[in-house]
Amino acid sequence: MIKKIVLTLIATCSVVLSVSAQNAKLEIDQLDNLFPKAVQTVDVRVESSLLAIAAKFLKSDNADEAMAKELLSSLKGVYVKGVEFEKEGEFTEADLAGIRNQLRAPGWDRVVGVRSKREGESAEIYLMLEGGVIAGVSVLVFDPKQLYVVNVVGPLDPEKISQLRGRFGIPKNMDFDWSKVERRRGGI
Amino acid sequence: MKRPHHLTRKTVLLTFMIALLHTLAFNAQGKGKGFKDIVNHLETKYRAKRVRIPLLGLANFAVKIVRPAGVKGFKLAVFENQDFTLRDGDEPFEVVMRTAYDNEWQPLVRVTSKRGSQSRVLIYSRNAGKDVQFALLVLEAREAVVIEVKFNPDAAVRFLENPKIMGISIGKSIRGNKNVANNQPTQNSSGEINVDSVSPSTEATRAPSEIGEPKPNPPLSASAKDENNPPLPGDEKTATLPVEIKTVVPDRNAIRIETRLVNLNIKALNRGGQPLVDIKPEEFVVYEDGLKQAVSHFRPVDAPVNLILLLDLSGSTKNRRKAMQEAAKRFVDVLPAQDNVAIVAFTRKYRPLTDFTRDKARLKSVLKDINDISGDTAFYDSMWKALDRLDQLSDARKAIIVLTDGEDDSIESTDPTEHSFEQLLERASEEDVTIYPIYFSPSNNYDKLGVIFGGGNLMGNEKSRIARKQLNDLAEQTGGEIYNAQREENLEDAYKRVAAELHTLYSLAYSPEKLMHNGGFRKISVKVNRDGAVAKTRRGYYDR
Repeated sequence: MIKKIVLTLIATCSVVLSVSAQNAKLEIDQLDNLFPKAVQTVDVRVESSLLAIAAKFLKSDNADEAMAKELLSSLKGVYVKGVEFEKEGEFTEADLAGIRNQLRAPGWDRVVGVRSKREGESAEIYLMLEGGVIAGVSVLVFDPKQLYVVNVVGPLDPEKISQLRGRFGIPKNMDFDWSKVERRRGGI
Repeated sequence: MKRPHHLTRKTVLLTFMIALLHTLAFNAQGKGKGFKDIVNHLETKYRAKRVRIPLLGLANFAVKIVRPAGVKGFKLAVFENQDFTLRDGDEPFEVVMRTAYDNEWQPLVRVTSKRGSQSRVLIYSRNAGKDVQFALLVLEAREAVVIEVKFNPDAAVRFLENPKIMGISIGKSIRGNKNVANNQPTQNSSGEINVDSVSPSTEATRAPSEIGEPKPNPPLSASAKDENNPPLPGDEKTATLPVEIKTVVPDRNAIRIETRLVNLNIKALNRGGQPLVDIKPEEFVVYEDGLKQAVSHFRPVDAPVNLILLLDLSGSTKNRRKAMQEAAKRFVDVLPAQDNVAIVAFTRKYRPLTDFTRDKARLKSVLKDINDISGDTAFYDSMWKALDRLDQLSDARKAIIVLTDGEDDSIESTDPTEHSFEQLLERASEEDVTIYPIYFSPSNNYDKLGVIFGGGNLMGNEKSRIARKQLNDLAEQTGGEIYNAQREENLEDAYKRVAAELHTLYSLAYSPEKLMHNGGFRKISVKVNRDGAVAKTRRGYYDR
C-alpha cells in the first residue's frame, strides 16, 4: 500500500514538473477580446528564433554584452499584451480570470504584489522556478484604464538578468532584488 | 522494350517539371504575394494611389546586387493623403495581413491606437533559412507605408563590425570597435583605409563642466538691469515689449555709486500649509547670510504676474493634445486680466507661440496650433531659454508654468544638451522666477515593465522617476510647487491650482550691503512675524 502511495506521489510529481515546464508560456490571447473596446493595444510575440537573431547583434568579446547575448540566446519567447481604455470600467477582474487561473497552476509563485490605492494601480510578478532557475516570468500591471500582461519564457538566470540593469535602456536602479527570489518564494 | 523505357523517362521528366512548378509557385507565394496583396487591398478597397518614388526599382536592383548590411531585397509602397479610416464592414487590417501572408509568417508586433491619428502598426516575420524577412504595415488615418525586407543577420552583424559596401569601407564600426572608433584615418588588417569623417573631438565640444574644468557660475537671477533699476508698481507695461539690450561703455571719470536690488517672490504659509494672503510688508523679515536686511519694495499677492506657459509637445504627449489644449484654455480664462502671459511650446526646439500679452483671445487661439508639433524633448535647454526671456523683463513678479513629463532626452541617452540639469537648477535657484511644473505623464504601464529585468519601479520607470525628482527640485528651489496630472482629467484641476497659487506670492526687494563681487554665495532666508507662519523663497544668489 505504502509502495503504491509512494509510486503515485512520484508519478504525480513528475507530471506536475513536466506540466509546469510546458506552462511557463501563458495563453494570453484571450485578452484580444478586449481589443475592440480599447483605444490603444499592444501585442508583441518574439519567439526564440528572433531572440537568437537579436542576440547575434551583441558582441561576445564584451563581458556585459556577452551576458545579455547568453540570456537572449537561451530565452524561448517574450510575449506582451496590453490594452488601454478611454474610460474606467471597461475591463473587470473576470477578464483576468483566465490568466490568473494559469498562474495558480503548480510551479508559479507570486513573488511581488503591489497595489496603489491612490492611483488604483496594481502590479504582480509571478515566477516559475525549476531547480533554482527561473523557467518563466509573468507580470500583470493594471489600473482602472490599462492592463498589461508580460510573459517571458526562460530559462532566466537571476544573476544574469540583474546584470542587464543600466544597459540597453534598462533602468539602473533595482527595486526588486532578483538574487533574493528563492528566499522570497512562496509569495506575499 | 525501348518504348516503356522512353515512357518512363518522359513520366519522370513530367513529374519533375510539375514538382518544380509547384516549388516555384510555393516560393513565389512565400516571397511576394503578401506585399502585393496588401498593396492591392489598399489600392482597391481604399482607392489609394502609391506615391511614386524615383529610382526605387533601380535601388531595389542595386540592393539585390550589393546587399548592403546584409539586406537582400526590399519592397516599399508609400501612400499619402488618402483616407484609410476603417468603415463598417471593412475587413480589419489584422485579418488582411494574416490572409496575405502564409503561415510561415508569424505576427511579431501589433500596435493599434484610436487616439489622435488612429495609427496601426503590424509587423510579421519569417525565417527563410539563414535569412529573415520582415513585413511591416504602418497605417495612419491618411497615410500608409508597406515594407517587406529580406536580410541576412550574419551579414548585417559583419556590416556593423566593419561597414563595407562592395569591399569599400564606408566608416568606423557602428558597434564602436575600439580599433576603428577614433576620428583618424585608420588602416585595418587587410590594408584597407577607413576614412571616417573628421569631426571636432568630443572632448573639445563638451561643456567645460563635463571635462573637469571649473564650470562658470550661471548668470545671476536678475539681470544687472533688473537689480539696478528697481521695479515700480505699475511698470508692467514695459513687460509687453522686448527689451533692447545695449552695451554700455563705462565712463572712467564717472563716480560710480553701486546699488543692487535683490528681488524675491515669497509664499507665506500657515501652520497647516495654507497660503496666507494678508501679510503686511512689515511682517516680513529678510536675512542675508544671517544679517537682517531693509526691505525697500513690496508688492501684494494680487499684483500682476508675468508668466510663461511652457508646453511640452514631445511625442509622449502627442495623443493628449486635445486635453492639453482645453486645460490650457481654461487656465488662461481663470487668470486675472492684468497677468501678462506668453505661451511657448517646446520639443528639442523652443517655439514661442506668443510674446507676453494680456489678450486672452489671442492666447487661446494659438493653442490650436499645437496639434502638429511633435519631437524629442530638450527640457533643460527650453527652461533655460524661458529664463532668458523672463530676464529681459524689468518686473520682478515672474513665473514659469511648465506642463511636461520632464523627461529630457539626456536622462537616458548621450544626446548632448546645451545645459545640464545641475546648471539649470543652479540658475533657477538664483532667479526671481517661480517655477510651477505640472507633471503630465500619462501613466503608461508598458514603461513599468522594465522591472522584469531587475530594474525600474513598479510605480514608474527610472527615467520618469528622475524626471519627477528634477521637477520637484526645480519647484522647491524656486519657491514653487509641483502638481500632478497623470490623468488627463487632472490637468484642469492642476492648472486651476497653479492659477490660484500664483496669486499667493508676495514680491519684495532689498539692497544688500557690502557687496564683495567675489562670486561667493549669499544665503537668503525670510521669516514671517506671525504665529506658525513660514515663508518660502529662493535660496540665495552669487555675489559677482
